[in-house]
Formats: sequence, C-alpha cells, structure tokens
Amino acid sequence: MDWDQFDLNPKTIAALKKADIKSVREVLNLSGADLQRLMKLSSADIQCLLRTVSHMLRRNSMLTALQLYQDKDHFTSQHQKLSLGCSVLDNLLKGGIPLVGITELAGESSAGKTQISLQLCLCVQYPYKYGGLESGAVYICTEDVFPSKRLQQLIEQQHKLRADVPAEIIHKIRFGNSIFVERAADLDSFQQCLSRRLSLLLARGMARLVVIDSLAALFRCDFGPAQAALRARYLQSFGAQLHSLSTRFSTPIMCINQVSDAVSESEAAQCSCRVEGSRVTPALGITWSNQLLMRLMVSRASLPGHSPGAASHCAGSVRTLRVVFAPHLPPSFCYYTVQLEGVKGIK
Amino acid sequence: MASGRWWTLCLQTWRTLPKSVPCLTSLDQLLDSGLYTGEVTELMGAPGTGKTQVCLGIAASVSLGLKQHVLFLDSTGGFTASRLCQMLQAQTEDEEEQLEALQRIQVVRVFNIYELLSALQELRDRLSQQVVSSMGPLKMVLLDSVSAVISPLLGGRQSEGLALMMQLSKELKTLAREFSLAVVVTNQVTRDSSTGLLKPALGRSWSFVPSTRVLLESKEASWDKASTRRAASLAKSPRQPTGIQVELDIGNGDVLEPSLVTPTQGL
Repeated sequence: MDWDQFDLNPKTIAALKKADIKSVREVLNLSGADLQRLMKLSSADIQCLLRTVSHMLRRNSMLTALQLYQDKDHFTSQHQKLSLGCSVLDNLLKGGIPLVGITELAGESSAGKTQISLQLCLCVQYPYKYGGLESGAVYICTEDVFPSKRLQQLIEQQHKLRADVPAEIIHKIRFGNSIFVERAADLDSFQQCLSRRLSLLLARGMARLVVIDSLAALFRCDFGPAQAALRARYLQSFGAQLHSLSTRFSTPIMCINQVSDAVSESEAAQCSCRVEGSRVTPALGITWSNQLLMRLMVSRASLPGHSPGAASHCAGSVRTLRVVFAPHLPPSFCYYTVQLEGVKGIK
Repeated sequence: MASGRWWTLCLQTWRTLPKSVPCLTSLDQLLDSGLYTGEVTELMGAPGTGKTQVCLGIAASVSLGLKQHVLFLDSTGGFTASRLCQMLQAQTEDEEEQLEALQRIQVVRVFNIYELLSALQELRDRLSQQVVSSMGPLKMVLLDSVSAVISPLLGGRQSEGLALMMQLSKELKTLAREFSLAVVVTNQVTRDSSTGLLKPALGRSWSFVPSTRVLLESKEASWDKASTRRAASLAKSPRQPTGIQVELDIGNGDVLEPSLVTPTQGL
C-alpha cells in the first residue's frame, strides 16, 4: 500500500512503514490504543490518520447533473426505461416506464389496462438492447382471475408484435416461465405477499417488474367513509413498502387503478378525464396519489375532433392513453388499439 | 454608553441577516425578492401541480444566472437531467454555458431517512473542511420531497418517527444558518378529515420548521388541453402578507432575466 498517496504527515507515513502496516484494513481493524502503541505516535496523530483513511474509503455519492445527462451507455443510468413494446407508446413516454418509482395506470373498465400490463410482462423479458430488463415479472391479482388464455395468445403472436427483434431471440425466451402470478384477495394476504414473497423474488433477480391489479379492490368493501384514517395508513404503508422495493432493486412498479365519478367541484378540477360528459377521477384519493411518480390514464372514448375515418382500418375501437402527471413528461396523449397481437399505438 | 452597545448589537445582527437569492422572477415577487439564505422555504402542493418542475427551474436559474452551486437531494426519483437541460436551453443558446450550468448542480439520490441524514452529514463535512473540489461555493440545497422520506416513519409501530423528523429539521436549519445556504423543501398535501380542505402533510410539528410556505395549485384546465399554468400562493411568510398569489408557467420554467442582487453587507 502506497502510503505516500495519502495526505498525511511524513512522520506518520514513516511510522506506518516502520510498523509494517500494509493495508487500510489493518489500520481500521486495530484500535486507537493499539495503533498508538505500534506506531509510537500521539493520539492526535492517530486520530488524524484514521480520519484521512476513512475519507479515502468513503464513496462519493454525489453526481453532477452533467454526468447524469451524459451517462447514456451505463445500463443503470436514468435513460434506461422499460419499453412498452410499441414505438408510438414509447415515444409518448419518452422511452417507457421509469425503473424507479410507482407508475399508475387508471381508467374505467374494459379500457385496456390489463392488456397493457400483460404486454409489459412480456416486454420485460427481452434483452436490454430491445428495451426489456432480461427478467421475469410478478403479477398480483386482487379480484379477477388471471387472464392466462389471453397471455397464451399474446405469447404466440409476439413475433408479429415485436418485428424489430430477430426471431431466434424470441424463440429462445420462455415467456410463460418467468411470470409469477399471485393472488391476494384481502389486505392481510396482500401485506404478506409484499413483505415476504415479493422481496424474495426481487432479491433473487427472478423478477424485475411488479404489476398490481388492482389496489382499489382491496379497499372497496372493508372501508366506509368513517375509516378514512385507517385506509390512509394502509395506503401509506403499502406505498412506502413498494417504493422501497422499487428503489432497492431498480424495479418498475405498475399499479392498475379504477376510476370513480368526481362529485364535487374541487375533485372535478383535479381530474383530467371526461368521459361522455361525466368526469372521472382515479380511486383512492390524494393519499395514494402522493405515493406515485407517474400517472397514466386510459379511456375508451376518443377525444372530440378525432375523425373516425382515420381509424377505420383498425379492428376494434380506438382508445386514448394520456399522461396525467410525470416529472419528466409534458401532459400529452396518444391513441391506441387492442389487437390480437397486443396493444399498438396509432400515429 | 448604552447606545454604543445597542449600535454594535445592531451591526452584528445586520451582518448575519439572511440574504436573498433571486430565482424565478414571478416567484421572486411572491417571496419578497427571492429565496432567503439561512432559512428553510417549503413548496407544497397536490400531486401533479409542479413542485418538482419549480425546483428544477430554481436550480436551473440559480446555476445559470447566478453561477452558484446547487445541491439537489432527490427522494422521489423525479429528477431527470434531460428536463433540466430543456429548461437551460430555454434560457440560453450557448452550449458551453449549459454544460457549465449542469456541472454546477450536484445530485444525490436518497430514498430513506438514513441515507438523507448521511448525505447531509457528508455535506457538512465538506463545507466545514472547505475542501477545494468541484463543489465550489454552495448556495442552495433543494430537497424533493421531504414527505416521501418522513411519512413512512410516522404513525407506524416505531415511535422514532417524530424524533427522526425533528433531527432532520434541526440538521437542515443549522446547515442553512451556519453556511448561509437557502434550503428549499417540497411537501405534499393531505385532505383534512373534518373540513375537507387541503392542508400540508407531516403535521403540526413540521409546520414550525419552514419560515416560508408556498402552496402550488393547478388552474382549471379545459378538456383536451392540459394547462401548464399554476397558481402559487403564499401561505406563511415572515416578510409579506399571506394570501398573495402569482401565476407560474411550468412549461419551460417561468424564467426571465434573473437579476443579480448584491447582498446587503454590514455597514
């Protein structure tokens, strides 16, 4: 160990060499009194030595914004996102779902939320080069049965959806094997799932996407308006656990949420989706919204001014995906349809 | 003589008075010429009202206009360098200046209270040792958001939540005071169960920590065009009457020419 590289008194450096202390580990393993005895220095000098050595070891966790901006190749950089499998949708989200933080997908029933999340579960298994994370997904169902037939359909049609990926890579991936389905019908089983099984799967690297479908269902029956404080506590605790899992394992969390009608003026001002004259706002209120990083909303009705003729070549009705709030995206929207091979955006 | 002593006391207090750091011009009007050093300012708002955007705008304008270093503590994962770069591009065309401005902003990702406290400790170490590094003269610390690190601790079975919150507040205030920094934190809002109005999160104990509080709200948007206009109102201030409102545009960071205010020195 070259002690000259440290910013130390030459007397200390000479004493280190004489006492035959070869590494930083030895310095830190010995107690202050032992070091004093071995090196025959005063306690102030020893303190100075210990401080200098620890400074060298301490990792500098600060990065400049310039380094973050230019850091495009490093695979843990912020530029990496989980792609949705369609270039139009990826363009809307500037790459896809961010890897750290909770993303919410809200919308009324049959708007396509489950379709998008199934597509995400397949996209996460592709290699990094094609926008995936080379790992599996965990799908937590709280009310409906997991749509396994639809998943099989999607798996068979992957080569059609992902025309950009070479066929041999698609054949090599065993899609069905890496999707872990959990069922949590009430709060206690959900809590168990979060604290035990999910952290185990994520720690082993077997999954790098968590989809929760849906959180509002857990709170629908048990909580009346009088138990708002208890519900808020549960939501905060779930949000904190999900957030800490997401940051520890760099795993995107996708929560599917339902919508309810906005009844008061203040709620109506906050919501941003109007469906056929009535306004809808995502369920679970402001307590849950505070836990989110990004909120997306899907709806079935197309926006006014959209000519139906343009979409006539697509089978199925046109739906809208809009960004309600995100720190890195302006509020915007795009159209998509749900086809046999999956969700595809319309330019 | 008694008046002589009083004059000296005045002089000493004058020298340690907080100086203001002007940032976004319309926000400056709200805050009485800018963010004050030596104090903690809080920005609160519902999700999606633009707290992170305002913080990024403040960081961009302080780094570019005043050429001071800024530390950004990110606890939500919402800091994106590309958005910051967009805001800088809206202010200046010169690429060289943009890169320099990006270099003056340091980012630390802290996702729980212990990481945050250790980052603040590291900051204190560096500042007190006056280590000459790329750190430079630090003027501002932005913490986005404080409720994301504190709320998981409160109300649970552990009783240390409140103690940790108070320790954090003491750390922020002493940093602001000792090293003349302007500290900005963002907070969330919750709904008051009895009145249904929005109130800042983290409760009454936290409300004593910031000396100035600004509430951000979004204006009513039309159906197909989401607006980037926000309303900022002053909820608590030692200098201005509360209730003043200004409008902000978070589209490209509401920044006009920031004025360089020379801080008032002692007499």
